[in-house]
This record gives sequence, structure tokens and C-alpha cells, in this order.
Amino acid sequence: MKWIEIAIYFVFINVVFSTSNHIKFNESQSFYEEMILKPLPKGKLMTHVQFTTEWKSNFFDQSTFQHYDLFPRSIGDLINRVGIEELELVFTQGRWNYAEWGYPVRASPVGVELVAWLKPLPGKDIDAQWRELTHSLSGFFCASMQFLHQVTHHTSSPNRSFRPDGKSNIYYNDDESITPGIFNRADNTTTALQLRYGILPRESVCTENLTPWIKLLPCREQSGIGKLLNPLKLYDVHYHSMTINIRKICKPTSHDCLAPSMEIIQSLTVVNDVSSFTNKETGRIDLNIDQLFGKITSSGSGTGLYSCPLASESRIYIPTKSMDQYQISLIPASYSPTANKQFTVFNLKNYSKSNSLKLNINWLKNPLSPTLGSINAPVVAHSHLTGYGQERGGLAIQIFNYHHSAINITYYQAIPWYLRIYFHTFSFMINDKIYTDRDLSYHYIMPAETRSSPSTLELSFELPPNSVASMSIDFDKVFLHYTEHPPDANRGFDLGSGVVTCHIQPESIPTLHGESIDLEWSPLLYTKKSSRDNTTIPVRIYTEGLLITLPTPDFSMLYNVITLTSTVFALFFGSMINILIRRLKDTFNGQEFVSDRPIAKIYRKLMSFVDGTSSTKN
Amino acid sequence: MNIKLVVSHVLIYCIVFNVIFESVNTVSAVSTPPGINVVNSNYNVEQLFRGEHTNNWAVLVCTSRFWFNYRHIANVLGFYRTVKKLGIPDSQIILMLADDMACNPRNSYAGSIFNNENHKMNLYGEDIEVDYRGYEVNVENFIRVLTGRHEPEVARSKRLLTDDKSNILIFLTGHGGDEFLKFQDNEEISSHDLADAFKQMHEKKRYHEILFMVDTCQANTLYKRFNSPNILAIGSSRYGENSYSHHSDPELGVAVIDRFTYYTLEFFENVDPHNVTLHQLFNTYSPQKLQSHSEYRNDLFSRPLDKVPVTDFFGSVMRADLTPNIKLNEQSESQQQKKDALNHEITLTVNEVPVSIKDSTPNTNNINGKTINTTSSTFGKSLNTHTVVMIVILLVIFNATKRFNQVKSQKQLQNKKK
Repeated sequence: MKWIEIAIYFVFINVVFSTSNHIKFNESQSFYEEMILKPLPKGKLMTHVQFTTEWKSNFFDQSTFQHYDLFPRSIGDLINRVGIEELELVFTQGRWNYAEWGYPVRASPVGVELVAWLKPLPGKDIDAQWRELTHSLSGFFCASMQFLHQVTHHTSSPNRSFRPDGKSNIYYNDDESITPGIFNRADNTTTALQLRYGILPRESVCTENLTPWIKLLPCREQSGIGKLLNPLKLYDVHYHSMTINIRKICKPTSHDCLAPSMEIIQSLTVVNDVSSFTNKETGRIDLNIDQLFGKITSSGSGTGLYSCPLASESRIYIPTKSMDQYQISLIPASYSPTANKQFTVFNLKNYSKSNSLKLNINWLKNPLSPTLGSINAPVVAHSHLTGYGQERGGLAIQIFNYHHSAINITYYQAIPWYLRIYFHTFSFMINDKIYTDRDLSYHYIMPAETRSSPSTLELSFELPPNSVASMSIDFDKVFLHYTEHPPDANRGFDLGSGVVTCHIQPESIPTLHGESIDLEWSPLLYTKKSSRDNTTIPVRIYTEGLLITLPTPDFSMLYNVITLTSTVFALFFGSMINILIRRLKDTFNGQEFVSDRPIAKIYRKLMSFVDGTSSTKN
Repeated sequence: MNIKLVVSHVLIYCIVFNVIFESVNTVSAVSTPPGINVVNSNYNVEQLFRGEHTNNWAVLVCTSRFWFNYRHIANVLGFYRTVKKLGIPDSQIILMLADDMACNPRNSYAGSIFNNENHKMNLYGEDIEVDYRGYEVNVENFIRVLTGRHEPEVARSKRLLTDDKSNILIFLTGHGGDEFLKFQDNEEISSHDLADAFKQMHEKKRYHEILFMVDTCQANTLYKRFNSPNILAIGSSRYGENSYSHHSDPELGVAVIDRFTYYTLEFFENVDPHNVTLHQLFNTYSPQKLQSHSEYRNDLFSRPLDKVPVTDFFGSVMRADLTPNIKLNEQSESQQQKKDALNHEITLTVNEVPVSIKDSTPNTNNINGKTINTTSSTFGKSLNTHTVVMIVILLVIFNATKRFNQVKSQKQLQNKKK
């Protein structure tokens, strides 16, 4: 009997595999954890941890999404149910200082950003998928993502600023004007993917968001780099950014990617101010990793780091460049350089619970070559509010190119409908030279629809070396309905960050090539990226989020109006109606009643005296 | 013919009587605990009468925004930690926090919320799930949660998935007034809204029992309009009274907890929560301590409060099968409880002191097609004696009818003779 069962089982497997066009699918799930430490000027330290779970399987088969090993089931279900091709979800608090710190691994705007490439599912429209996605994510991550569809002015779909990140069965030839799509092998057709981009600038990020995020990790916070995820320390920082990226990639990279694997990257970037650890005599910061995140020390004997047992790779990277610049010295000295010598690596796989890594870093507070600051970030962007008062305002954006070669830039900004944009006031200048829309390589302007969609502005242009592009546009501030104001309306309304996408050629910029860590630090990621095309890497940066004060009513106004109106009605309306419709006539025909009381007599006498008539004797 | 009819009538009466008597018997059994059978003095009354609800839920709502209302968040989180410690899992707690206090820039302790100036316990902890936060905390969403009328896409974690076997703890805190509670200084929920929501819940069979607690000014006015059964309501202050904060933290610069919540949590700290009743809890609220009059309304509630263990609402207690060996169990239980205290996520709490049963043979009675498994010996005994009494009565009635018929037939004979 057993033999028969096994035989049937093999036949079944054969059937399953033969249906998928004879492509060989290897079912496997693997987990990598990586961490990078990079000192920043003025006694700051950037810590970036990244957890990658890779899932190789046949994703053309629906039943794939029924078995999970390391890949989080809740995310797998969501991918299948909503039709996610690619997703980026970022929670950020604080502002990344591009000019001083260079580019982060993954730049992000303040608040929550959600970028989703959705593939159309039969029987559902994209908006329904987006609604389901935002609701599911908000339930999952304890945040208010459902506002992205409920308050529609938070959601838009840029044309060029975002491109699918992974390489899989998506075909768009890196041409920005082509909509990305999936190639259907079965009938040689292409299904266009739909992009939804949402940003919630006001959303706070706290422990309740981290809790479900940690629960997606195979080792949670029990071992490996995850042990450093201590909410009490993670939120007491200058900058905090937590991301989830879902994408399909191909490994090894090939042009004809038939069996892509699913990848979920969870990363956390934190910038700490550690200047309090500075030794005043030497000017060096001496720091133990345990001191930085402070969770491990409390448990006594179990201090130090060691690999998560489920991880295929578990490493700590320190950029070689920073090693020289900040004269970093590390204890223990059991590190080795990577193949391209860009990083110094600690392999946590060599450590165990009994023999854990107690990493001590010691570096100069002030870097040796301070001129590097401007080269760190070739393109920097800022946004400002102009104008005054509660009636009108304006938006000004400046994009600086500090580099000695021209850079292609795409700028995207969604502006909520309650800022009524005057598009004719739009001005665009590069180094005080006015540009018209003909000088732009691409522009797409979409006016807002009141109470439903935002105004969107998307421009592409080439920014010459060492120059600055400045844009400005004017708007009126709309007087909102009483009920449209949030409970804390007097705080102001947040305007989400603008997205600046710079197409930087790593080969043409040697300094940047050396600094490739700032673009895609992980050697794994970097090889994937650069092999797709050797020309440009899209680097995204964000302008500052802005706070706009709209005219707010006095919220007790409602009650004042009610009271005032009722008073007016009560006093005037009643008496006016009375006067207008009452017919006055003398209805008294009988004998006049005369009181005998002495007071009445006195009153009568007084009145007759006043009237001048002589009182008759009674 | 006649005899047969009479006998069948008598039988039917007997069955009816039997059923009535049986129900009376169970009622009386419910009202008087069979203390004789209990060996351990630490016995808790509710042991026998549990089991009407099968799951526990908690809806904990802070309706206040802004930093100076820190204490309201702390109130709610205090309750959250208490119910979580007593076993209600995060999936069965709907936590609504109107503002972000833990990661508020004004908070000098990032990621922490304290409800005592000694800063001993961080209420936010390292593991928390807030289901509704910020602008989401509004009257509409609160009523949607209660009545279960959501958009179809709304995530499961944001829904109150209760049934007619669910006991729900509802705790509200914020700023209120006569028959209303403010949500975020922006809108209000009135006592009528609450009463309507509960009525709808009752009609939809969304609860078994509700404990409604409010810590706000003039809180007792909020439950005035309730008219659905099985709701027990308690407020922190009377009409015209304010509810006051307990103390403020000089480092944070704000009050950290309200009096009503403080004394509730203090009660849970100082007692074994598995051995106290709601009556004991409600008796701890004194006007001297609260500086307001906490009053409860139990006219809608069917059970006497001294028979309701607090864990019926604050805990998620699952009973384990009873074993007679008490001493061994006590040890293992105390260990188990220690383990539970360490691990916050354990939902199963084995806390009951087992009842020893003298009559070890299970006594099964088949009455009217209904099988009653008697686990308690008095219950079984009472049924036994009761059936004996029934048979005696039946025999007496049978004899009486026989005699009556004999007399009748004799009379008929006499008439015929005449």
C-alpha cells in the first residue's frame, strides 16, 4: 500500500511540474541577516540592520502560497490575496540630513510611505485591491494606513518616479515611458502593472509598529541581530526608519528570468547621537554595541551577539572608507575584508551563545577629511513654504547638484486638494535662467479634484553640474468644512515630502562608485542592481515635509451660532409674527371693575392727576 | 378507560412537576454553594457556576488626545497590562489610543509610558498591539467595533469578533460630562448612543455579559440609559462630580493616572485575582479615596456580584479537568502561575483549586430525554431523593385514584341496585 501511495505521490508531483512549462522550480526558503555600522560626523552613528527572507518556488502556482517555512505566512497570504508584485512600506520619524550624512540605504519621507505595484486580479479592480491592501496592512502593523484610501488625497500614482525594484518577469526595458508589465508565458501577452503611491506624513511610529515587524522575523528578537531590537533604545534616536520591501528577484541574474524568487527585506535604519561617549582627551568615541541598544547587558551572562540559528548568513559590516576616515579600531580584531574591499566584516556564524561577539568600536568624533561632506551627497533637495497669512501661500523647491557632471532628475510632488494650486504661477529656473515646459524632458501635471484626488506634479530634467534648480508655485488655502478638520486642526496640515529621483551613473562618478555603500550597501543587493543595467542607478531622496496652517474656524463657533440663532428666533421671530398676524380689537364690553383697596385708590388718584383729569368722587 | 386516563394524566403531571422541581433544584443549588464537599478552605465560590461564557474580550478606549491627557493613555494601558497578564491575548483586546504618548517628542522616556512616578513598570513594554490609534479613535469607529458593522476589508485585528458566549470588558476613559464622553475634543458619544449600541449588540447576540467601566467626570450618567440585559456598569463619579487624577510625575510634568484606575489596579496588585469577586472590587472604591462617588448599576445583571469572580471579565480563564490530588496540584499550580507571570503571552491559566467529590461514581439521570451528568454529589443526591419522593407521590396518587374509582364503582353498583 505504501508503495502505491508513494507512486501516486510522484505522479502527482510530475503533473504539477509539467503544468508549469517544464521550468525547474527549486523550493527553498532562506534567511540572511546583516548589519552595518557607519560613524557619521558630529558624534553620530548610523546603524542599519537588514533581514532578508528569500523564497524560491513556483509562484505561478496558487498552491505555493499554502506552505511556509521561514517566509512569513501573513505576508505570503497578503501577496497572493491582493496581487502584490512589489511593495515598499516605510515608517520614518526624524529627518535624514543628506548633506552631512550622505545617502541612506533607503531614503524615506517623514511618516508612512507605501508604494505598491499591483497586478490586476480577475474580478477585482485596482482600487479594491488597494483598499484591501491598506486595510490589511493597517491591521497588521497597527497603523492608520486605511486613511490612504479613505482620505483619497493621500494616494496618487506617479508615472516615472517609481520603477519596480526587483528583477523578475517584469518587462519594461528600463525605459521610463513604458508602463511596467508582467509577461504571461502561457499566452504571450503582457499585463500592465498598476502603481499606487501613498504617503501619510502625520503617522507616528512607535513600539506597536515594531512589535508586528519583529514577529515576521524567523528568530524574532531572541537571537542574532534581532536581539538588538530594543524599542526603548530604538525610539530614543535622531532618525528612525523601518521598512518592508517585497519584490521578486532572480538569482543568479539572467536576462531570461523564468523562475523568480520572492524576497522580503526588512530593514531598520537608526541614527544615534553617541557624542556622550566621547573621551574628551583623545576626542574618540568608545562604544560597545551593547551600550548602544542596551538590551543584552541586562540578561547578564548572555551578552554579545551570535548568529540566528536559522540564518544562512549573519554578518556585521563596517565600511572600509569610514575605517580610514574615522580611524576606527575594533575589538575583537577577528574581522576580514570583503572581496571588493569596501567593507570590513564580522561573520556572526563564527560565534555562538557561549562564545558571543562583544563588539567594541572606537573612532574619532571628527573625521579626518571634512571636505567629504559635499561629495557624500551629489544631489540635495529642500522644500520651503512661501507667503504668509491664512489665505494664500506658495511652495518653493530647490534641487542642488554639487557634482561636476550633469544628472537626470525626476521630481514628483502630490499636493492635497485643499491647497488650490494656480498652475500658471509655476516657475522653473536653473541657475537664474528661466526654463519653460519645452525645456523639460518630461512633465505631467494633474490638477486636483476637490475632495477626491490630489494635484500631482511630475517633471524630468537634466540638472547641469554645480547648479541649482528652483521651482515655485502659488496656491490658495481652501476654507474647509467644519467636519473636515482633524481633531487637532490648529496644529496645521502636513504636506508630504516631494520625491527627487536622481539617475546617477556610478561608473561616471568615481567617488560615488567608491561610496556605493550609500546607494545599495549590501554587496548582495549591489550586484543585483548593477547587473541589471550598467548605466544608471535611480537614487531617491526626499524633500522635507511641510506643515501648513489652514484657516481654522473657532470650533465653538457651531454652538455660538446655535445659541445666537435660537436667541434671535426666540426674541424676534415670535414677537414679530405676533405683531404681524394678530388682529387687535377691544373685546371688553362689561362693566369696568374698580378695586376698593386703598392702594388702588391712591394709584387711580395718581394716574388721574398725571392725566390731568379731575378725579370724580366716588 | 378512566383509570388509564387518570394514570396517564398523573404521569404527565409528574413529568412536568419533575422538570419544574428539577429546575428549582438546580436554581437552589446555584444559589447555595455546596460547601460541605469542599476540602480546601481556599475554595472559591464560583467554581461550580462558571462555564457560561467561553471567551473573554476587552475593549479599552482612551478618548483623549494631547500630551496633558497623558494619564488617560496610562489608565487604559494599566488595564491593558492587567487583562493581558490575566490571560486575554492581544487578538482579543481592542486597544484604542487617541494619541501617541510613548513616542511623543515631549516624552523624555521614549517608548515608555508610566502610570506611577516610581517608573517601575513601563506600560508600553516591548510588545504591544494598538488596534486603533490617533484619528481612528472616534465615535464612529467605536460604535462600529461594538456593533461589528465594518467595511468588508477591515482587518480582523480591528474587529470585536464576539458571540453570545463572550464576556466583554469595556473600559472608557477621557473627558466627559452629563451623559456624554468626549472623543478627542472633537465629538461626543452620548449615553443614548451607548445604550443603542449595546441593544444592537444584544439583538445580534454579540455578548454574553458586559462589564462596562468608565473613568471620567460624571461617569455614572453614561450608563443611565442602558436597557439591554446582562450589562454591569460602573462609573467613577456621580452626576455633577469630577473624577480626579491620582498624582503627577514631576519628571514628565503631567498627571500619570486617575484615581479610579489607580485603585482598581492597586486592588489587582494586592490580591490573588483568581480568588476575588467583583463585589470585593467594587467595595474598594470609597469616596475618601476617589474623591468622588463610584456607583455601579446591576439591575440589568442577572448574577449576584459576590458570585462573579473578577476573572469572568478581567481574565481569560480556561478550566482544566479536576484531579483529586490537591497537594501535588497546588505546587504545580504555583509553579505554573510563576511561569505565567514570566510569560505574558500564555493564555491558559490553571488556577482553580479542585473540588473533591465524595461520591465518585458518576450519577446519570435520564429525565425527559435530557441527560444530566451530575458532577456534584449533593446535586446527585438531591436528584435521587427527589425521584424517590416522586415515586412515592405517584404511588399515593395512584392508590388514591384506585380507591376513588372503587368508591365510584361501588356507588354505581348501589345506584344500579336502586
